[in-house]
Parts: sequence; C-alpha cells; structure tokens
Amino acid sequence: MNAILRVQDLSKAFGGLMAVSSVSFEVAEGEIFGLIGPNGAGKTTLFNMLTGLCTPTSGSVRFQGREITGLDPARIARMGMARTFQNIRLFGGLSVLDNVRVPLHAMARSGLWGALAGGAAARDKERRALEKARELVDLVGLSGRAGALAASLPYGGRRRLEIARALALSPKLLLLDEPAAGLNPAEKVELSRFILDIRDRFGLTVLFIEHNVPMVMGLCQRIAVLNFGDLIAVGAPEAVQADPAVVEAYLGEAHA
Amino acid sequence: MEDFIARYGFLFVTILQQALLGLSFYLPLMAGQLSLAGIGFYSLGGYVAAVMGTHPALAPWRDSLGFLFFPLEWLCALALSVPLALALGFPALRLRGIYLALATIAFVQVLGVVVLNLPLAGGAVGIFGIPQAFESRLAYVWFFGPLLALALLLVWRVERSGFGRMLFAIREDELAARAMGVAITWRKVQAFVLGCALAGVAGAMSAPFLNTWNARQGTFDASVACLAYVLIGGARSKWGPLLGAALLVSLPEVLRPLKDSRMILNGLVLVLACVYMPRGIAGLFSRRKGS
Repeated sequence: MNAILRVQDLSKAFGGLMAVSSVSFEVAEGEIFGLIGPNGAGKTTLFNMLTGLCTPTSGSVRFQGREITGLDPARIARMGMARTFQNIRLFGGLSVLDNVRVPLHAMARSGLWGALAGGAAARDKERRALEKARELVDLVGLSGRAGALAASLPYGGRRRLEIARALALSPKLLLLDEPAAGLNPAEKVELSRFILDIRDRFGLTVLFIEHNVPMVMGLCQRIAVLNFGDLIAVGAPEAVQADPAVVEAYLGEAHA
Repeated sequence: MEDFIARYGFLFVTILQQALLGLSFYLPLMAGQLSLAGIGFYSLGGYVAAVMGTHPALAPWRDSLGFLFFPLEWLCALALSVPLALALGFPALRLRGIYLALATIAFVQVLGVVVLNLPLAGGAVGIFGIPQAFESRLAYVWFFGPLLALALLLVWRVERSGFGRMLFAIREDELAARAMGVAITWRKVQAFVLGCALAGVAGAMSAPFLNTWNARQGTFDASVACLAYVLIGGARSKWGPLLGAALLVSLPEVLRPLKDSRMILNGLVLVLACVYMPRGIAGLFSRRKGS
C-alpha cells in the first residue's frame, strides 16, 4: 500500500477536553476513505489539523511523504490537499467563476506586479486561470450561472461550487466535510457518482466525513470510526459495520 | 464662470486631495482590512516635503532643480513610506478587525508625538512658509488630478487581476481564502503598503498646497474623516472614496447660507446617509449582479 497520508498519534486538546486523542491511520493513494462517527466525535477537528487550520497538541501528519504538521494552511493547500467545509464557506460576494479562479491565482502566484504592469506572463496566467475555471464550473454543471454571485446559488449549487473550487487546487488528496449534508436522496446518489467520476478523472484520493450510511458503505474502500476523540475502528465497510465497538458507539451498550 | 471658479475652485482641488486620502483607506479595505494608518503616512509625506522645501542645507538643490524639486519630494516620501509600511504591516496585519484599527491608531498617535518633539519638524508650530509650486492654489489640480487618475487606474487594474480577486477573497472569508492557498498575510501587507504609499505621496503634494505643515495634519480626527469618505461614498467601490470626499468636503460650504445651523444639518445628512445608504453613494449606482 502506497500511503498518501500518514497520521500518527495525532491529538488535540481544547483545555481539558481531548477533542482528538492519539489517532493514527493511513490513507492509500487512489482510495476513497470514509471518516464517520457520532456528532462531536472530533471529525472536523481532525480535518482542521490535517489541513493546518488548527495546530495539533501532539502527533504528526505526513502528506506524500513530507512532514506537514504545523505548516501554513495555504502552503498545505498548494501542495495538493484541498478541502470543503461542513458549513459551506464560499466567497459569497464574488461570482461563481471568480470563486474558482481564486485558488488558481494562488497556485500561479499571481502577484501585485503582474496586476499593475500586466506583462505577457501575467496575461498568460490570467488566460489559463480563466480557461481552467470555466472547465471546472462546467464540470459541476454551473456554467449557466458562471457570472452570478456565489451567494445567490441554491444550496445544492453551492455544495457543487465548493467542490469545483477545491478541485482548482489540482489536489492529490480531496477532503470533503459532509458533502451530502442537506441534499435530497436523488442528489446524494448523483453526488456519489460525481465523487467516483472526479476520483478517476483527476487521479484523486478522497477522504470524506459523512453521516449517510448507505453512501459511505457504497463508496468507501475503507472507513475509520471516531468516537469521543478516539479511533475505535478502521477497515473495510462490512468489517467496521460488524465491529461491536462501533455498534456500541452508535446504538448504546445494550445492543452490543 | 470666473466668479464660479474663484468661489469653488479651491473646494474642487480640496475634494481631489481628500479623495486621494479616501482612496488610500480604500486599498487595504479591498482585502477587508480596516487600517487607519494612512493619515500617519500622509502626515509623514507632508513633513518630508516641508523639510525638503524649507531646510537651508538643501537650498542649492532647490535652486538647481527648480520645479523638478517637487517630484523629488514625492519620490523621497514614497521611498520613506514603503519600507516603513512594510515594517508596520507585517506585525499589525496579524491582527484582525477592530484590533488592526486600534494598532494603526496607536501608530498615528505615536507618530504625532514624535513629530511634536522632533526639532527638525518644527515642534508644535510646525513648518511654515513652504515654497509654492504654483502661483495659484487652483493650479494644484495639476498635482492632485493626475495622481488621483493614476491611483484610480491602479485600483481598476488590481480589481481585474488575480491579485485583486485574492484580496476580495480575503475580504469575503479569510479562513476559506487560506484553505484555498492564498498567502493571506503577504497579500494583506501588499494592499496595506499600496494604501500607505499613496497617502505618503498625497502628503508630499499637500505640504506646498497648504503652505504650512504641523502635527494637526495627522490626527485621529483626520483619519476618522477619511474613513467617513469611504463609508459614506461606498466601501465596495473605488468611486466610493471620491463620491464621499465630494459630499463631505462640499457639504459645509454648500450649507454656508444657513449660518450656525449648518453643522446640525451636516450631521443630519451623515446620519441619514448611514441609515438609508448602507452601501454608500456608490452602492446606489451598482445593481446587484446575479439573479
């Protein structure tokens, strides 16, 4: 197994509360890896530590063989780890197209001098960013709304735009934080198909948090289960589903 | 016509000058950063020009360069403003929102105390008798007009560039911008330095225009006035600072016939503008994009 992400003894304490305690797991290249667990289990905190938005209390994260613990989140993003947010965080006042262009500019290191002087290199960067952004907006089916403000999109559209914006970083690893939350059953099926499609098309590894059990079981090669900050199970969906510790965490002791 | 120019010409030039200051506040606001440091750089730029224009040691330079000595003053103000803004920007821009505003006010206050106690800056009296660039005050339109046009062109270019979109992304959601690879501190510092540099050069142009320069040029009150141009004019448009300066500078003059009650009406207009035009004057003209 060629691990793209190696998490070792990762912990985060908020005061006396261990939000994540000594979690270790690996994600193999090309796999779709699910992270599940009851509310407050520490899933989003774990995501925030992986992407650098919050600093771990202890432990380490290695991405593509490089130690990334404590690096600037912007740097981690440019290295090829992109994410979406549980509570969608688009640039609401910017157009759909501009939302996707921002990470492209960040990758191309578009600078102040290019903006002021506007030489051939800067124009070339702008043109390529525009082309790529149009492709990605088209991919998520929003080309008809490319000029609209991101905040004006319906809910499902905002979810799709956030994925398109993450894809603009040309990620190797895509982290999706509850991408199916608030979608209707038909949209959930469509999203599953879309995740498989982009995984194959862009050669992605996908790590995602999800509550929807059929979706997780159907999509993931492997699943990790968090409960009160502890990693209680990792493995194939069927094995995890049958694990007594997992059943207990979700349903309580009497059922185990 | 001549009567009109005589009466309102000075007002017009003042509007251009103040619009430059408003624009220097608008630049960091493009990245969502509320900085009040601009007025400090305006004051500093003015002192550079005032000292260079009056110091006896520089008399031979002034004589040999003639009118070209003024652009040299602008360049010196610029050369001082940029490194100082960089040095101030990196620590200050780690702060957010109201804390950045407070830190930049502190900078303005410290600078005020420094110039008051600096013999070179003339103490409380300041520097007076600064040599004029033109015979008439109205002719200063040839200083402020081109600089304002250049600054607006610069902002226009930034808005349409990748750099500008990254600034707007920071304004919209700083955390999301970081997660999307934007080096937020460096981008904020760049926007901040642009604003400070513009204020510095505007100050260097203003010293001869106002003839005297003292610590009152860089006060908290002055920075609040500049912020008001942006807020009343519209904080989301480059035309906002221009429109705001036009309204706020001309209002006391236009209301002059009302004598003592004019300041009451002046205040009333400001309050009503805040209540009924939250997006400023420029916000009235820009229709919402999208459907």
